[in-house]
Amino acid sequence: MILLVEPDVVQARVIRQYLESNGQEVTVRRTAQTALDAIDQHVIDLAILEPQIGLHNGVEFLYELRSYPEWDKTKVILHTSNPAVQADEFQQAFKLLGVEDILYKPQTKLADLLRRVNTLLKAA
Amino acid sequence: MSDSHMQAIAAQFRTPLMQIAQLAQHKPADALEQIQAVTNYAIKMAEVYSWHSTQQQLKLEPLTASSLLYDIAQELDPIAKLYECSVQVRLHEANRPVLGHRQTLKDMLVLLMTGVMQSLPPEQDRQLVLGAHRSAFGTVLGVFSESLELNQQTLTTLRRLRSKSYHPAPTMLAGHHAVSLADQLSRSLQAPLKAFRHEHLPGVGSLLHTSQQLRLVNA
Repeated sequence: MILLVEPDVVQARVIRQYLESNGQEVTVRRTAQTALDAIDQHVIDLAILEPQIGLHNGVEFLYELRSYPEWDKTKVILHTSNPAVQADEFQQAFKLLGVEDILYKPQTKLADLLRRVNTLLKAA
Repeated sequence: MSDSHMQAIAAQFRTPLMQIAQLAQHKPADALEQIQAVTNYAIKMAEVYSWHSTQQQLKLEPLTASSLLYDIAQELDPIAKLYECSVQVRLHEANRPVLGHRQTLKDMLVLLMTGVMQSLPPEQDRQLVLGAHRSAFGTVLGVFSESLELNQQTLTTLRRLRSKSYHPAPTMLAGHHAVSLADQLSRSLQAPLKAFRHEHLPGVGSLLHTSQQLRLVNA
């Protein structure tokens, strides 16, 4: 199952529908806490994370995720609309937190996102 | 205009543009109505900023809450579908005409309702009320719901951090930009947004004063 962490309702629906129409099983959460709950309740193979989450930012979420040994290896892709993430300091921080790839909206098309998801899931 | 202010405005327009970009990729023919709704919302935001920059004086006129709210509900229909919400108009002893500026009031309530819809988590009840009721000092018009994440404290935080932060409302997941714009419009009507209750439902709205002209005519 894929966990999509996206605070925008409309974008979350579009991404979920696209992935599901291409054979993926997706669960959507809008906050860091509910995303952690989802990881606790389901077997999550991959998380797609928009780091600009309202109540907690994505870095805090990742720190918390990686603090649990059972989730240390959960694959994570960043899918962000925030150009600030392109800064070197953020890139390095996210790589240290085990982020597999950083994809930018809207430059990354849904088809490209799917391709990356499929590649990571096959490699698991 | 400060750099942080410009960044905050840019961030506000990023969301609807991202939505359009995503909607256009997956089943674009089905998404046309949704793209139209998002586009109209972005245009409304641009119009509000444009209007603010010219600081026009508002000419107030007598209005009836019922005609205004039913008009707004119709305008909100595409946005409500986009966010999978339902909007009900409820009037409670709101027959007295109020003094306001029709277009500004409409824009204010449309933006407020849109911000509330954007903020609702998917699992929460998505029934919203566009309500008007008489109070001791006039008529309250606003948005009400059991699911509201918006309260007086959030409004205070929004006002304090306006244009200083990308995310000025830590208690709202999304929709804070639209609510902030609605707040600015309500201030131009000299009816700033406040927390009210409508038939026991919590919400946020503006208190508009009764039009004295028609009261004298009706006397």
